[in-house]
Amino acid sequence: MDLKQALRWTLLFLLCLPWVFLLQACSASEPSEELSAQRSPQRRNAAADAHDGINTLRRLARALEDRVRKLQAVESRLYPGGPVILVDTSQGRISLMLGLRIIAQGTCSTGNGMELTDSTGKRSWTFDTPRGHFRVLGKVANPVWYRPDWSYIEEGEPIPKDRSQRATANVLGDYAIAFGDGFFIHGTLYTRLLGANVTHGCIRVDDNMLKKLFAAAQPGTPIWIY
Amino acid sequence: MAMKRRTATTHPGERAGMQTFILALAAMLAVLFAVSCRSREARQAGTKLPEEQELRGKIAMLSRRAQVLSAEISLAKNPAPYLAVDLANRKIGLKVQGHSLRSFAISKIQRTGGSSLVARTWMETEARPLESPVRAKVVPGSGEATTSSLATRDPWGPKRMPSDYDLVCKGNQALRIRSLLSDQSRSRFTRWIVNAYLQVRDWARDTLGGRKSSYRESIEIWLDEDDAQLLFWSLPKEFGILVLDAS
Repeated sequence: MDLKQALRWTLLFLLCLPWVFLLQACSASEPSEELSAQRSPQRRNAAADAHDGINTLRRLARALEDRVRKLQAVESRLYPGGPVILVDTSQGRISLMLGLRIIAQGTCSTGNGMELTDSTGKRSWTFDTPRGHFRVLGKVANPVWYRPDWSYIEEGEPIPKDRSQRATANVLGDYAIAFGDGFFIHGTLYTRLLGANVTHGCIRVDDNMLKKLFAAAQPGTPIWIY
Repeated sequence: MAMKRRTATTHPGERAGMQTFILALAAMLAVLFAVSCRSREARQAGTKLPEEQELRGKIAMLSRRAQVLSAEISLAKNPAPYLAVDLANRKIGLKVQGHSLRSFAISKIQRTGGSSLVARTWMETEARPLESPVRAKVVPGSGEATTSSLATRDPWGPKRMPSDYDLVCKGNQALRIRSLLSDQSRSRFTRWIVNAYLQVRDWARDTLGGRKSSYRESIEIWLDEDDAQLLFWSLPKEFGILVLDAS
């Protein structure tokens, strides 16, 4: 190959070079999906699948967001917005709440955890304040206490047969709030023992707190003891 | 004639050179085209991949949140207190209707058997302490004043509660609460020694007594001693347990 020929081929190569770059530039720029589809049905399917996949994921994420939002709304509505009584027996603390807001707080006494067995050994009692959820079943001013059997056994007195003989006034304070199974929130004569676990299972509070609880509590008001 | 001779003499070399050049050009074009296609795909993948990954991550997170909320609502719609055991965040708490009454940090978790669902609910049927608390007896005829005096001298409270107990649930599942020395109690070294002893003792009790194998599924949770006692003190008779898995 002589010099002339070499120059001719070099010139031809240089003339081709712009076309090569042009081709590369065209292929690098993103063609529209329609154009891709015209070029290749397979590529169209792949692109459409990918696009559909992302859209499906977006739809799924949106649906889940809605579901979570609804569930959160349901959860936030579960806790009552009205009056609630919380009794923390470990601290000897009773709280009157309005929803999650504390309205009043005071000291209380709860069960002494002792056991009593009668002389026959057939009946026994454990003086615990029950834990869990309860509701106010009723409330009464100037309550009269009908002493249960264990009270007579503890005092070593004979158990009366007539119920009216069990009635004892002025021991439960000004008010009593019943929450089931003979348990009450009531006042006490032994105010110096408030905060200690000395009761037979009832919840004793001072007069001031009792008044607030009595005013706020209605039949059905939730009580949580823990 | 001269022209004819020239064509005859130059044509074969020229043709071979042309062929070589065309082949080289075609190869170069093919390489450039392939490179450009690959870079375009990479660019496309680069834009789609993060979004897809982000969406998948978001969906997993939302799906987990929905499962947790559904499980919690199934317990919380009932006003009875329930226990929420969050293994992922190492927390155990007593809750009512989504509101927390007490919450404790978990020191250690050990589990046997069971599925890997995100959120599950168990129903507790029995609290089984390894050592039952000793209750004082009221002597009949002693009177309320004496009982009160006794109760104030030896007060009933969380400190009298067991710190090691099993909360046995329906389906032979159990949440096993075990205690470690409180962070505040004694020196670090003593605490380490005592805690090691407590764990070995528990292991020996399980191995010799075969307690662990008696449950189909169990989760053992180690709490601070005071927390374990306070938790036992706070528990109602029967309650639900919400188990939020770490996976």
